[in-house]
Amino acid sequence: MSSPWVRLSAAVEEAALAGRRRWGQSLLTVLAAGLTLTFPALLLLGLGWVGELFGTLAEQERTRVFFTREAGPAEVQGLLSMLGERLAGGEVDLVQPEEARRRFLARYPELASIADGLSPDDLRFPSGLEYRPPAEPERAAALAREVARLPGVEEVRHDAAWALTLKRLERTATAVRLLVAALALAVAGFGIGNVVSLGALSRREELSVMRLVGAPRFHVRAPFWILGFVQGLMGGLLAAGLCLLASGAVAPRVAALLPTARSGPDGAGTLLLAAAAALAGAVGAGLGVEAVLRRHARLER
Amino acid sequence: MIQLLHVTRRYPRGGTALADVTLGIEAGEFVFLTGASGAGKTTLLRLLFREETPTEGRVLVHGRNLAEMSEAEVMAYRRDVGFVFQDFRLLPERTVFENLGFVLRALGTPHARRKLMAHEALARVGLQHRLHAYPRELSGGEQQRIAIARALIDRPRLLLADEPTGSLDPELARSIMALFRELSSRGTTMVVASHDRELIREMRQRTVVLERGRLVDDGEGR
Repeated sequence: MSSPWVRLSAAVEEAALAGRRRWGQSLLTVLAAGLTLTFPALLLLGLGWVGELFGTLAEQERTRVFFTREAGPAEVQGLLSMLGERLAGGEVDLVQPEEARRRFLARYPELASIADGLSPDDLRFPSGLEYRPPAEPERAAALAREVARLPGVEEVRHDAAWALTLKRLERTATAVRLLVAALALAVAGFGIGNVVSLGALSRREELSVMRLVGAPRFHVRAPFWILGFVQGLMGGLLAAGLCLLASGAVAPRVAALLPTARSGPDGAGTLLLAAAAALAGAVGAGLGVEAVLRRHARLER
Repeated sequence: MIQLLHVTRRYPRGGTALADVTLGIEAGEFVFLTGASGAGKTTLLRLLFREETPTEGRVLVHGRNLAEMSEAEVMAYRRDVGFVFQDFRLLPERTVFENLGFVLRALGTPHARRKLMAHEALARVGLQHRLHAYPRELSGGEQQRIAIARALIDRPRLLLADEPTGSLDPELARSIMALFRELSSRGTTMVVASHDRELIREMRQRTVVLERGRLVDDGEGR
């Protein structure tokens, strides 16, 4: 018996020959596989955007701390040190007097005359601070309570319920995305598998002759696996390309909401899509060949 | 070499193709199977090729019961047996060379050697100039000769042929039979199904006569 390398190269040669001879059918298979995968890929991308939106909203969330009128540099420094330690260098911004005044006017425009009447001495430095709370809602609420107890702190505004809701939405979006990803890949895999499998079924006469002349088991099956793998792979790459084109059309609108959003599958996504499609193609082709060969074996009994 | 012991082949939808056939064939022997259409000639060949298995009885080749072979063993067995099919069974999308050589390629035979072997096999049936033709470009007789060349290419120990001269004119049929006789004289066991009584008579070889699935005569061509 020949070496595995010789057998593999013969199988590759055979697969290439079949692909070339039936190029029209191969092209249709690649197109069908690509289109089958495009919809779930777009769905996953959309769900990714939803997840990113929740993530961005969570990132923009800030806890606000207002100082008492009596708070001096010592209290402010104490709070900054404590936050620096707890947030491990996370974002903490002191609210400058002018920024406080701008926010006041934006919120209460009808009280502009009062703000205008304030002297520079009335605007103390600083009036408060804002920090990005920890990602876990429980830790964020505990930290807010702790900050509220510190000297010089008049009020802490932390919307624990909103933070918890955002976190839950983000987790739900991730779970739904994973579920949809698994289902979409299974359905698309089944679709591609069937398409490639039909190709194998259409070659049942050839398979019959191969068996009759005693072609080795591997040589009968492997060309179909290889062809199915390549067709699936090309279908996956086509789906990634179509996904990129389709998402590019809506990307500007998404970018308005989410400046960091991707406008299509990234390298890892494309690789995953192509690998899953290739695997589905190889499995589908394998199942198709086995179905034909089982039928032959039944007839021989 | 070949033993059929009380072999019966019935089909699920009714009908008995072979009934209680017992037959022995020695290595290097040349045997004709003859009988009217539906007598069981093709079924007997298919049993010898392990394309079917008997409903009852046993088919032994070199002492091995063909029905007990695994798929891999069946494939290996078929590589050692040449079969000329009545309907040729050529791959329409492949050239003559590819039809002849694809099993050899799977087994790792280098291209140059395959080409030489294909050329030799085609020369034996007088079609060496058709190496790169597709089956659809060939006449029925040429396709039949290609099927014969494919069966011969790897010098099988057993050659089974189902009406191998059915599409050939008398002169070509005789030359193919002469080739078969030469192969037999070199040790290849030949089992040839034919209903061409005249040709069988001319060949003067052992002839097994089947009638409605039963073996009714076994002797020299008559």
